Amino acid sequence: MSGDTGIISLLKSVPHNGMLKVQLKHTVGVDRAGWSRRESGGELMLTRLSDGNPVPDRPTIHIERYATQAELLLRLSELSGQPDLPLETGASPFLRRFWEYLELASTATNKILVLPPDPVEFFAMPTVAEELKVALASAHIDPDAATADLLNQFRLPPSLAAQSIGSLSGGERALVALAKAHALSEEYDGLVMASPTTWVYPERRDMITAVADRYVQLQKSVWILLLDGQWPEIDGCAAHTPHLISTSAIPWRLILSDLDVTYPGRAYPTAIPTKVIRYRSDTPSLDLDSPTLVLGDNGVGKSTLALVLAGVLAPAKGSVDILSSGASGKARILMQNAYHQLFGMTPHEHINYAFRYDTRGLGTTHETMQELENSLQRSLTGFVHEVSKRDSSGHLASLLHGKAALAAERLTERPSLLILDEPSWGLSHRLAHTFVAEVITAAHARGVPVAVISHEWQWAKTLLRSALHLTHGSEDYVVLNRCEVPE
Amino acid sequence: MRRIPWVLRLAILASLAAPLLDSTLVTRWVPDNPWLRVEAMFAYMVAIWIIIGLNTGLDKLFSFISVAAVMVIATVIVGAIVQDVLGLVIDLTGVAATDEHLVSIVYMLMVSLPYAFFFVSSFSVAGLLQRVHAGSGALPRLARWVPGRRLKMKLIRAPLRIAVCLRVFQHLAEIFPPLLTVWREEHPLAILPRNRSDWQVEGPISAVAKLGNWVWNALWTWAKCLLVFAFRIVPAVDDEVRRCYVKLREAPR
Amino acid sequence: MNDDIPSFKRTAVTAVLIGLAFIGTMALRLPIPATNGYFNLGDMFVILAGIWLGPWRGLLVGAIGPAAADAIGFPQFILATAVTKGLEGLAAGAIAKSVREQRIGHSLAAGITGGVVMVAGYFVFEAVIYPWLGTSIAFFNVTTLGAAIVELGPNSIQAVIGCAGGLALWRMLTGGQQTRTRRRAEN
Repeated sequence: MSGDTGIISLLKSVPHNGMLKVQLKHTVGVDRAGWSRRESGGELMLTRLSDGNPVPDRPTIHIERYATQAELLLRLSELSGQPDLPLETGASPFLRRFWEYLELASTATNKILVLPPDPVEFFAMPTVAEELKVALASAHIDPDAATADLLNQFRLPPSLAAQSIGSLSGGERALVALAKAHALSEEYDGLVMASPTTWVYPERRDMITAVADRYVQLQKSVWILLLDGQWPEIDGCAAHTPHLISTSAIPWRLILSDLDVTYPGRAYPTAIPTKVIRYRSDTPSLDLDSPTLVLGDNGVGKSTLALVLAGVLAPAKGSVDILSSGASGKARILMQNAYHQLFGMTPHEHINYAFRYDTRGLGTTHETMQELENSLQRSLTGFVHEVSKRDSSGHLASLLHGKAALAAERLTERPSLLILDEPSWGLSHRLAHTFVAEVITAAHARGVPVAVISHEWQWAKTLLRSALHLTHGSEDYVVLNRCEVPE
Repeated sequence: MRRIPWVLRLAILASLAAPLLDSTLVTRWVPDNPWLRVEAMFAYMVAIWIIIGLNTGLDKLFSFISVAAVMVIATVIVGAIVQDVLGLVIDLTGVAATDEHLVSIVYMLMVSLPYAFFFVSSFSVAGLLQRVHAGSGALPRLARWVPGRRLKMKLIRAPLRIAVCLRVFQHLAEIFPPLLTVWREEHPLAILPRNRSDWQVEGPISAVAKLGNWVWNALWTWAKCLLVFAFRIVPAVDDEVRRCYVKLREAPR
Repeated sequence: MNDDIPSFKRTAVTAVLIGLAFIGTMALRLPIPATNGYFNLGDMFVILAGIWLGPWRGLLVGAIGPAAADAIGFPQFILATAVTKGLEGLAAGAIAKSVREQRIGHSLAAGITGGVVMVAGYFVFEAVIYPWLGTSIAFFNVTTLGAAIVELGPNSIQAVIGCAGGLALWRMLTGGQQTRTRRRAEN
C-alpha cells in the first residue's frame, strides 16, 4: 500500500489494540496521539492504543510531527472541532470554509484552547493590555498587576502592554499568545499549539515548554503540533542532509541614513504610545553578500525594515536604499504568511492575475514557475505528496507552490533585492530548506540578491554567505551590523 | 477624556455629531449670508478634525481623512460623469441643485467618515467585558433581580452582544485604512497596475476601456480582501465572548 | 462546555455586514438630478445578509446600516431607508430560506424580490407618505409624486446592481449553494 491518504483512512478503521502493518515507500509524517509507532526495515508498525478521545485520562504532552502543513491543519481542525482556516491558497477557499465554520455549532465536548499557526488569529482586542486583562478578568484579581506580572514572566517589556496588537512583530505576538494561554490555563481542558516555534526566537523557547508544563500541572493535556524539523531538540526528527547550491555570492550594498519608522499611537480611549524604530549603523553603508541572513531578537524590527525596503511602509524620517548590480528599484518581499499575498485560488490563477496586462511578463513568470517546480521535484524526489498535489482544475496547489508562485512573480521584475521573511512558515525543515535553496538559485541566475529573515538559521547556514545583525543599541536605537553567518 | 464615564462620553460624542444631522445648528450662529454659512460649516469640519487629532494623534487623523478623500474623489468623479452623461440624454433642469448637492456630499464625507471611525474607537470593549465579569454593568445588575433563568441569561447576553458588535465595528475601522497600504504593494504608482508591458492604448476609448477594466478588477479584488480581513475577527471575538458567557453562566447569582 | 452554549458568530457576522452596508452606502453617493435622493452601493450587503443569513438578519442589516449612513447628510430619509431596506432584507431572506437546499436560482429570485421591494418601498414613501407627513412636519416635505417617479429609474438601477453584487458575494462565500440546517436558537 502506498500514499498518505490510504494510511490516514486505514488508521481510522483500526479497532482498539489492533495492529496495522504498512510497507512504506516514502516517509509519512503521521504521528498521532494514541498510537505506538515502530519502524524497521521499511515496515511501519502502528498499534492503536486508545479510542482517539482527545483528552486521555492522564495529562500528557503530545508531540506530533507532520510532513506538510495540510496534515497539520487537518489534525488541528480535528482537535478543535472547527474547519481549518485559512486553506491552502487564495482568498475564496477561506471564505467558503468560513461559511462551514459559521454552520458549526459550538458543541465541542472538551474545551481545548487552540493557538493557531498564525498568532494574529488568536486576538480579539486591540491592545496587549486589553487582551490580557480580559483573559485574567474571570480570575477576579487585580488585572493591572497581574498583566505586568505576566509580561515579566514571559520576558516582555512592560511598555508592550500599551502597544496595539497590529504593531507587534510576529514573535512578540507569539509570546503574548503564550502569555494569554497561560492566563487561561484554568478555564480550558487542554491546549493545542500549532507550530509555536515558527515565530519564537530560540532562546525564548523555554516559554513554550513553561506553558505546556503549567497545563500539565493542572492535569490538562497539551498537544504540540510541529512540522518536521521545527523543533529538532524534542521532535526526534532525523537531521536533514542540507541541500547545497552552487551559485556564487552576489554583492549588494545597504545604504542607511538615520532611518526612523513610526507605528502611530493614539491617546484615547486607551492610550497607545507611538512606536518608533530608529535604525542606525556604524557606517553609512553596509556591504553584504547574497544570500544574506537577517537576524535579530523578536520585535527588534527585521520585518519592519523589510517592509520599508519594499516600499510598503514609508519612513517617518531618513532613508534606506539598496545598490546591486544587475537589478534595480525597490526590493520585493515574500511575507511571513504567504496567504496574505496571493490573489487567486491557485498559484496559476495568481500569476495570471498579476500579469493580465503584461503578456511578456506572464510568459516569463510561468517559465520561472515551471523551473522552480522542476527543481523542487528533483530535490524532493520521494516526497511526492507536497510536490504533486493538484487542485480541481489540475494546477499544482499547496502552500509550497503558493510561495513558489510569489517568488516567480517577484523575480520577473528583477527587484534590487528579494526578501524572504521567515520562509519556513508553514513548511517543514526539509521543504523550507529546499524551497529557499531553489529560490536563491533562480534569483542568482537572474542577478537578483536575496535576503532571508529568519531566527531559524541553523537549517540554512549552509546556504547563506553573509549576515545582517539587528540588535538593540543604546538610546533605543536598533543597530545594524554586518557579521558572519553564525554557527 | 479617558476617565470620563462612558455615558457622559456618549453624550459628548452625540452632541458633537448633532450638526451632521441638522446643519442649522452651526449656521444659525452666523448672519444669513451664503459665504458666512459656508465658512461656519468649514469651521465645524476643522473643529471636528482638531478634536479627533488631539485624541487619536495626527497619523490616525490623516489616515481617516485619506479614506474619506478616496471616497470623495470616487463620488465626485463618478457623480460628475453620470450627471454629464444624463444631461446629454435628458434636459436636467436641476443641474445647479445637483452641483450643490454634490458639494454637500463632499463636505459630509470629509466630516462624517473620520467622525464615524473616531466614534466607534471611543469605547473600550475590554472594559465592557470586565464590567460584565464583575457584574457591575447595568444589565447584569438588573439580571440579579429578574426571576427565571432564561430571562436572566438574555439580560446577561445583551451586553455581550453589544461588545461583539462594537468590537467588530472597531475592527472594520482598524482594517479599512491600512488596506490602502496593501494596495500600494501591488499598485506602486497608485493608479496603474504594476506589470503592464502591453498597456499600449490606441486612443481614448481604448484607454478608458483598459483603465476601466483594471479599476473594476482592482476594486473586486480589494473587496474580496476587505471581506477576508473583516471576517477574520469573528472566531477570536466569538471565543472571547463565549468564554465570558460560560463563566457568567456558571457563577452563582 | 455543554451543547447549549450559544455562539456569537452570527452576531459578529451580522455586525460585519451592518458595518459594510454603512460603508457601502457612504462610499459612493451619487446625487440623483431633480430629487433629493442619491444612488449608492449599500444594497448588495443588505441582499447578501438576507440570502446568506436569513430574513431576520437581513432585516437588521437593512434597517441599521444604510439608515445610519443616511443619518449623516440625509436625515429626512432615515425613516424611509430603515423601513424600506429592512423590508428588502427581510423579503430576500424569506424567499431564499423558503427552500432547504438553496441554489443560485433561489437566491436570484430572492435578490430580485428584495430589489422590487426596495424600489416599491421608496416609491410609496416618496410619493405618498412623505408628502402626507410633509403637510404637518416640514422636515419631511422633501419629495413629490413627480420626483418619486423620476427616482424610479435610478432606484431600479441601484436594485439591479445591489442584486447582482449581493449574489456575486453570496456565491463567493458559499460556493453557490447552502443547505438549511435545523439550528437551536442562538444568542
